[in-house]
Amino acid sequence: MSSNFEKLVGNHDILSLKELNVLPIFSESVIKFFSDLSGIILKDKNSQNFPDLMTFGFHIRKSNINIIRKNYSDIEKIAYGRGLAYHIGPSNVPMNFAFSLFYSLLAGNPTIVRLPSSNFPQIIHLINLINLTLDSTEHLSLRPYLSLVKFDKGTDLSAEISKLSEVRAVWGSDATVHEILSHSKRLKCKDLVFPARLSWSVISCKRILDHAEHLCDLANDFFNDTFSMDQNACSSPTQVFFLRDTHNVEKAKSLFWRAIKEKIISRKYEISSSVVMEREIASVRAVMTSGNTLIRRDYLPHFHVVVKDITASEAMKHSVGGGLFFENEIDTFKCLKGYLSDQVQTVTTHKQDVLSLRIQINEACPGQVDRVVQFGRALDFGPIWDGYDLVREMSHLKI
Amino acid sequence: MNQSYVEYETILNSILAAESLYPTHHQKLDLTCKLTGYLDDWHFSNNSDYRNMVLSDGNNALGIRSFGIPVRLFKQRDLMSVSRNQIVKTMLSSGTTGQQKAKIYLDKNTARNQSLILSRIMSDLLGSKRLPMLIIDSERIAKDRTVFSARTAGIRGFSIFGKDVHFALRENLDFNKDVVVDFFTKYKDQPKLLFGFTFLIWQKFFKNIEKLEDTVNFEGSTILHGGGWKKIESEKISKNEFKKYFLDLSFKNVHDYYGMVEQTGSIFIECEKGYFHSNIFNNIKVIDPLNFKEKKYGEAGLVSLESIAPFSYPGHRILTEDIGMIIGEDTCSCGRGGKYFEINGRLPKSEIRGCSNVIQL
Repeated sequence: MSSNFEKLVGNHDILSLKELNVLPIFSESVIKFFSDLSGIILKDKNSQNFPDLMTFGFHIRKSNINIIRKNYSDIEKIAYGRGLAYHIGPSNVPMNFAFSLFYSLLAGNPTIVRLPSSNFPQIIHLINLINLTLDSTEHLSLRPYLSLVKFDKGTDLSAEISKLSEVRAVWGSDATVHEILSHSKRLKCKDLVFPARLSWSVISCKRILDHAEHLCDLANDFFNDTFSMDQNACSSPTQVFFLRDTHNVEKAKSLFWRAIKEKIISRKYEISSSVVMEREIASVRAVMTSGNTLIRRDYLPHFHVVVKDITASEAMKHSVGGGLFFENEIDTFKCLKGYLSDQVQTVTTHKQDVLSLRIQINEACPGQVDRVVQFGRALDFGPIWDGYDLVREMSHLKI
Repeated sequence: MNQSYVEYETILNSILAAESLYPTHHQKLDLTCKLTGYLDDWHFSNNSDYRNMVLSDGNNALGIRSFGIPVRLFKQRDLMSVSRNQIVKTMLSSGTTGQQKAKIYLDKNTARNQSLILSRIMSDLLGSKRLPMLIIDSERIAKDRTVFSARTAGIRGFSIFGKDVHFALRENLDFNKDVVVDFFTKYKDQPKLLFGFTFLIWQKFFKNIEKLEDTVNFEGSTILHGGGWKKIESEKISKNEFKKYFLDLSFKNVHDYYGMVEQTGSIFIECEKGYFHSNIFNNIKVIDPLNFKEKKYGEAGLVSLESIAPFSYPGHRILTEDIGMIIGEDTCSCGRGGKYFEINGRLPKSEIRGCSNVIQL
């Protein structure tokens, strides 16, 4: 076993998880554990320094679990975990591993999670709180069912765990996903992969002009979708399409970006010169490949806007996070078809446009976009993610 | 030969023949700025990546034309302004395993001009006669053709300015006392050149020659060193202390140099007062890393460099990731004209911060 192996939570003998019985979905011991953990997170003062940890704390409270549970009444009596589940957390969004763990245990699986190598303070804090919760005798029986570990890439431990797993959930770059999938696996092992994706915003210029005096809320939602994760989350918008539904498109665009800039300032979002440099390099690289482009540096240091007619796949090559947006204009929602690829995960838009946009995107390109949600909801994690119904995918039926 | 190159070369030749390597601001406007402007047009017409970049600045023109291509893009794009069949040599930057390397495409003329420019700078520093040379490195590094490194390239590039080249370090980089004592004995009281990377000179050379002070005479020795201070950062040795240690041992001069593989040839030499100087072949600007506007003298920022050497690739203006500060222009007490500056380090690498950095509302 690797010398850099570090066991942080739960079962110390990770290979023994394989020997455990699976649990039914929504088992009482799991619900009780998360409900207690939720209480501990939400009451803890330090947690409040981490909005993403607080969001997780809210997501796992008992009342929310009951809401999620309602969607599974059809299978609740017959669905059980598949067996040992191996989750690889992403390195860009600290709390994703926790959601992955939550749904894996809800689905009834003994779960090993490989944590990202970076020492995110909210992860360290959550680990402490999980350990605190597990210390209670009430959760003695659940303790063997989870194991949170850290180990170096390139060790053969991943391959060893892969061989024993019935579920593998891989969050990460395309390279990470390929690497994990290359390990041999059991025939019935189910793979859930969450490779890098890109997200869009679709903005009506008319709505911007109509509400020119009240852009603060829209800007706040867009800010939360984007900057609360440094634009590193796959569901944070990178490409922004402005709908030409008014004559004064330029004015609408400028009002929008100015409102975002003001929001960044009022929310006291910190910007480092190295992030600005990363964006600058990516912007220049993006414009080098074709003419007819513009790099707007008017909003520096807060963000870069690259005006370029660019597809999602190409935008993805240049996306670096931290506030780099690719701006484009479209005449109708239908025009989005030309820019789509299956790499587009989330599309955010005005609340009033969600339904019609969802319908039109699905008509134009069935099955390509995973979710269309209103501004402010890009990062809301749910039981259906990247097209997977997580509980159903990670469980199986016994009749 | 291309008509444009002929025009370029005519101006370049006048610059090479200019009496002063360190002209004042006004003297420099005539030739250097004219040739830089000429290169702006040349690369705009002959390199689509460069043209697209310049055009992307639109009417706002914050000045991308004037601060140049971010150096990292020489790793990510194949940048050349002549046709591929004219390329005779591709230089690769150093880079640790797994990292992409910068690729610099040279045609015959650019390769020759780099050498001519470096020769002009070196002869101004050392005189036109080649000096006995001690390289503070191992011969293996100099000869290694399997691994291309900045050290190998530097040693090869500079060793043409010396004669009877000795190597002060063994293959394992241990100090070779016999060679060093022989060298200083053989060339006692004569001018001689010592060349090497700053960290090796400090760690492997200085710490050993201190003990030889009583037996060896270092007079007449000029040290030229480069490669940066990062590797000896932890030893907290300042530039001035470094210099003083050698001068106290009766070394004649100690000069640091600053240069980038993207602008090979037109290096910046440190003067006796401890500042790097721009010369007739190059220029420096300091840019605010938050908004890319030019900084005033005395303010630190990103270093943007100009060189009149790059013709076959658009490296005549580059935006580095180094942090530096221009002290002034034409006013250095060493007497040389031009901008004088210091380099303070590199822009820190960006790190993913998660979302703890946002104030919750």
